[in-house]
Amino acid sequence: MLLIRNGTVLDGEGIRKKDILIDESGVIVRLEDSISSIENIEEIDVDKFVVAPSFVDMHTHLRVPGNEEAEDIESATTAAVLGGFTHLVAMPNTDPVIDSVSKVFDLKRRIQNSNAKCEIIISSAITCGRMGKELVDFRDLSQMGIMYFTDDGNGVDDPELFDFALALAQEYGVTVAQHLEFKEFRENKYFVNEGEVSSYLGMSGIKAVSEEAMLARDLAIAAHYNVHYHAMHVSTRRSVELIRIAKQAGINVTAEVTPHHLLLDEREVLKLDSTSFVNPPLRTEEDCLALRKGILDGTIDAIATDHAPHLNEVKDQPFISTAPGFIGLESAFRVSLSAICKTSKFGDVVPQGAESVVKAMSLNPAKILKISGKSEGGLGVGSVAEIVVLDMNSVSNLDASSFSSKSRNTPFDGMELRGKVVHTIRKGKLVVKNGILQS
Amino acid sequence: MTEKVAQVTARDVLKFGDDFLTIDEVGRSGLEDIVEFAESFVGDSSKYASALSGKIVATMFFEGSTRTRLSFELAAKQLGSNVLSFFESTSSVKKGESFKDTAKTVEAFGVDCLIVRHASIGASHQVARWVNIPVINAGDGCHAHPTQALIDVLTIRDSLRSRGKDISFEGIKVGILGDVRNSRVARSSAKALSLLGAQVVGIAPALWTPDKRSIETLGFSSFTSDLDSELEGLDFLILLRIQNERLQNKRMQSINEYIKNFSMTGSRLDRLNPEAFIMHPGPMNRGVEISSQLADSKKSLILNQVSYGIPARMAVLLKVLSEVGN
Repeated sequence: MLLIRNGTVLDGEGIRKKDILIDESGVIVRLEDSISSIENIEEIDVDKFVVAPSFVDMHTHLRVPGNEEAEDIESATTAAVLGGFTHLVAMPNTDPVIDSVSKVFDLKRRIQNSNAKCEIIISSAITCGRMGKELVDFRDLSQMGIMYFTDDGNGVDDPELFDFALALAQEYGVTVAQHLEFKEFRENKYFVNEGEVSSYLGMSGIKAVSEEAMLARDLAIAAHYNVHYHAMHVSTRRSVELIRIAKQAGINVTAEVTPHHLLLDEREVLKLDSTSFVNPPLRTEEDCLALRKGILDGTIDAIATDHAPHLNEVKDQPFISTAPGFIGLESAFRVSLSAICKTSKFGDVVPQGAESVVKAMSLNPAKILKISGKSEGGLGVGSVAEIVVLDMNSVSNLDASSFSSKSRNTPFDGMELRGKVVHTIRKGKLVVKNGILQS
Repeated sequence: MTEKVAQVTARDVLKFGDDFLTIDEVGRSGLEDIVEFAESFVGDSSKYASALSGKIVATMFFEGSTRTRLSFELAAKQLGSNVLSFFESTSSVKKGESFKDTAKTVEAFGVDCLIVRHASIGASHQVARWVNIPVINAGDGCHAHPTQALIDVLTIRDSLRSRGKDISFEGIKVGILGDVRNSRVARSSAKALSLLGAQVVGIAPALWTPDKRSIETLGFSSFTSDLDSELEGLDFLILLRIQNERLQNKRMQSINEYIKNFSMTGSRLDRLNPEAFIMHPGPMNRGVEISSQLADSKKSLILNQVSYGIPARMAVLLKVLSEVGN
């Protein structure tokens, strides 16, 4: 049993100061203005901190199976709980690709036999081997409980094939999530925004329109179905605009943005450092501002990490052959809060904008993924205690050397960032206490 | 974007121990400093014949090159340095050790300076971060080729001087013609010439033009796809090498399309300002970007450029590897 004292509850049901009592089975049994101490029960005082539903990452590259040197189940899930996450969606672009019942079965068994610190939600590719040629077996996979399909890393270029994918997704009630990028637009392999900075450096980069054109096409197709379509890591202001219009038109679309796209822009690339290359690339300052606005006004539903671990060796190669991507689980909250609450004043338990960050990192992804016990939202009596306790005001320099991830590819190392994940509670148990993993 | 985002602040004049990676980093005063130093020993560099004796300069070329590597190596030898020559195709490095390990290994041999050529943009910046010895950029992808820019500046100053003209670049107009979008020579030379006061006009097919927002930062005053209307007003015209693989893709339908509108052949020679001179960093594709007649004519400064390759590179090596000239 656990008693959380003096916390400011932020769960979409209104901000309020409450004490929370969690019982042996991990369920919240009391939520009151003041609960008096009970003998032999652990108590944590979280005055000045926010108590929120734990985070859910819609976009983690677990690297299992196939690249366990860069990350494995234990290291990824440890990084996750330290970052305040209790659930993550594992991307299927592994080796082999998760694209069949047997591959799902193998991964499930590995997770069961592992020392996973949080829930792992398995997703499947849309096309076999993510090759964009033939669709996976939506029927069998959905019957096995797979609800999330994506070729992440590749967009589905073929419009007819994508139309068929949405028809199947409608039939079996699953979500199709698109990596938005028409490959034909890419002349060269620099993971940089095509524009002023790339042109100055002589790099052929990735155009904003390669994302926007695919998003516009997908929305046009999705309008013909009663289906949930999810736009992954949107990165441009026009993408935000397209999603806004589609939502107004009644299309069942949700969207995510990464923490790094909220905080950084293409000028990072001028450093000519390998930790500036990511796909989608860091865009313009204008795009960055539009993405923040998208989070604040709810056009963008979720913040998802796109946690993409790579070993240092990959980053020690020339930029033309470097692997794109950043790790994100352990920095996601701080980076997002720093981006969204840039101008908020310090000292407020709930700074302006922080509610949007919490919604985008916990409530909305839980709802989109229909996570049982979490999708209903609030921290109410009777719900399972999946909780994160957040300090919204502390400022410190990020130290990547202290990360639990096996990889270190982050552009944020040494950067001054706001906020801190203090405690993570999973199924009523403190798995992270004062920023330290509990055994 | 109203603010120019890609502006790099000039560091300082090139000094002992520095890297030489881009023209932007040295700025106008650094550029003038190197150029004037090179001019001080053009024709007779004997006093520096042993300035770098006991030093080892390594050329690390991950991309094919003849003149750049030869002129760097000759420059180093004329200064009394030992030369270690390293060439590896990109593909074999990919298979084996990392780029970083390769650079660190060469440094560990006791080398005093690395001269890096690579097809990947920023490669010499990466090496400079990994090693503790001076690194000279001998060309990185389509980004920068700063010693070629020194050569172009020296060649133009020489041409002006030999005709009794003011060597200041104020008021002179230089055209850079070809695949500017994909040219490191264009980027470095446009920057250097504009820093010294020249008006630099980019001339290229519309789809070979850099992003409009970057043109000014790159050093160009304007861009045009109308070569014929520019011919009369130019004092110098730098032609870029046209790579064959760029002549048949989505951006350019055929070699004939290019020749028709952008090749310095036939009647275009007559329309060129009689006082104008032609330059080319080499290697040339005769009959594509330039006619043989023009390349071998008195209007061509192409061999002067080649001969300035050595003093330009000697000046840089002396600056970063010795106290001479500092």
